[in-house]
Amino acid sequence: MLEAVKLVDDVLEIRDLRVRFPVRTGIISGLLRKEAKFVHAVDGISFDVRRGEVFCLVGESGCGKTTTARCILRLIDPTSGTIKLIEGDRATELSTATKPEIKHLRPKMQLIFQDPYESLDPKMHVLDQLSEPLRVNKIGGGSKEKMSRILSALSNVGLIPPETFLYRYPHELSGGQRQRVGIASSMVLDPILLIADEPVSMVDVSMRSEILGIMLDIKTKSQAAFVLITHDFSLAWAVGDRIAVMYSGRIVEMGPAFDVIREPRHPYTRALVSVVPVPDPTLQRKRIVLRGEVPDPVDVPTGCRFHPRCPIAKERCRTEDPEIQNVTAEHHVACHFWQEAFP
Amino acid sequence: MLDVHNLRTFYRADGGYVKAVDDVSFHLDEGEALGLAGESGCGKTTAALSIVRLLPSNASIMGGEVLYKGQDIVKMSGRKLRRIRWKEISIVFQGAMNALNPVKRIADQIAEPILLHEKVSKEDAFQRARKLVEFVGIDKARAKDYPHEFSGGMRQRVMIAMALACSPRLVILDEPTTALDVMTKTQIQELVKDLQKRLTLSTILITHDLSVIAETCEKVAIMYGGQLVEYADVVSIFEKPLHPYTSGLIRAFPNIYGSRELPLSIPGSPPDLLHPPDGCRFAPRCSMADKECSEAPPAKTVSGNHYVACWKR
Repeated sequence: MLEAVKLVDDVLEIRDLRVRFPVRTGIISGLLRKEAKFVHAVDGISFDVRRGEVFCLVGESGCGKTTTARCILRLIDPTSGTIKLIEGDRATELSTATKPEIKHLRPKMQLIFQDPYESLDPKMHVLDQLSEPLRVNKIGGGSKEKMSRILSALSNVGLIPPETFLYRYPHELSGGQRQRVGIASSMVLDPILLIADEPVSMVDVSMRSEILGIMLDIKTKSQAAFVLITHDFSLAWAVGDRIAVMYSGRIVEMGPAFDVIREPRHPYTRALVSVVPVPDPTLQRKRIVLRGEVPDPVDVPTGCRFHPRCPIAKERCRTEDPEIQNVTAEHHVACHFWQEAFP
Repeated sequence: MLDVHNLRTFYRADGGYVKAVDDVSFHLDEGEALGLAGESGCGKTTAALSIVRLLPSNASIMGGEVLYKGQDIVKMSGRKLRRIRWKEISIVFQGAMNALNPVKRIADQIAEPILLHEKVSKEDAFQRARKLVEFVGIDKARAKDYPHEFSGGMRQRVMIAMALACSPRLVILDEPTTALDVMTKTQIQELVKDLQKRLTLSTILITHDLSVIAETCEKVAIMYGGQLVEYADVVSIFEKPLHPYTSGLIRAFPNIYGSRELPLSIPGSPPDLLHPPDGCRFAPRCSMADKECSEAPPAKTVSGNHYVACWKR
């Protein structure tokens, strides 16, 4: 069903991705041959990311969004499923790629870190910081070409004039400027896919939109695809093209950002959206406050994983895992009763 | 109930004083919820810590007064102050939920301030601790559990229970929901609102997130560069912000019920409080600034209770 909406300009294609980690047990339970337990961090998710879009993975901590991202970059190995990176008419299967292949592909996929204070080496000035990825990946040819790449990456992230920033050390930069240098060091390699894990959560409010603006700008100019990982719906609202909402290792709802936020069909999405803080004290709305917490990933509930906290759960939800259904061709939801409850 | 007048708290540093709180005044009525907002480094936490005089050793209150029920906390003796802390004013520190003692049961940790501040038997203190656990929405059977058996949200509930241990009248909450997930955040917010009503508590909520204040507070004080720039009731602040910094800050938050566009940012960065600019501290980042702003802006009170420090109003 997801195949039906596949578009030619996909950059990333993920099918039925699963990641599980064994739970370490003590010697005694090992001797007693107790059943091995697993953390099901990501449990069968499929999605595509298209050229020039910001695809948001939204969910609470522990839902598997960061694991998904690390899997795409092959920083961890998936248990099963496929991850295809598509560049023009060439598709590479990342889940089975060998180490040299991965090394060759890494420049195409870059990570933007969360913490601009820890992701820069305090002993390296900006020029070193940006030369390193070029040197490691043997990209950029002669020193003249390298320099022009670095200067244009700096001006693309709004560090203007770029020459004045080359010899500055991280401590001479503000938080916002550090985050820009971080983005620039990903951009010097001309990636086709950028993964941003909570890119503004450590940046002061007044500077957040500047960073987001840079991301949007890069997206338009380079047509790179972004996977934005966040717990914040209002961020997805401001910059996201499409949103996938994750809960307990699964995607429960996916679709265009506007539809998912304004007309959510999954009871979990509805609850999350209803509690997004809004800077308007006069707004009257019904907040759906869910009780309890995200399930233990070792011991996930049977049937629909959301049923113990779901306000519309029925008997069927206890036993039967919901299939993904189409609300529209682009909007999907995994719930047995969405049609009855939220037509 | 609480009256802060011209409070000045500085940190000693190489080459002078960091003027973290520089001439801040506000007041709080019984049962009122005040939100103290601003970017990191604006002095909001220092202002709050000054109220209970729990400042680090390199900081001192250089001037002003903090009147709690008419008594000046700044001039109070240590002994008298100890009678006010926890029994009258308590504080939930930023990130304190990660500072629970990992080897002590939570009920014992909640009982500790009761034993320290009141003359009660161990048994009574423990009983009260168990009631408090239930009061903040945790199953009382879990009172004997250790911190690592609780999630972040539950640990924050424990911290709130601890703050309430000696039935204070004023609770200061420093970024109580910052590291929590959206849904857990909401649960804690609802708990605080509920406690406020049930106990007619006064609260001061310190946060950088204006939208949280919009949802939980009645009054708002906006700080910038160690100074109070605007103070009013929550509806006026959001509907008619008078200070350009306040309106900038409000515009910096995306609103999922508004249009889908990138929120606006405030160019520039906050002032160095070791050498703050003369005149209006926001002027270097302000689009409305002109010559006038090189002098300190006058404090104005507009339409009743709306305070603003800006030349352009």
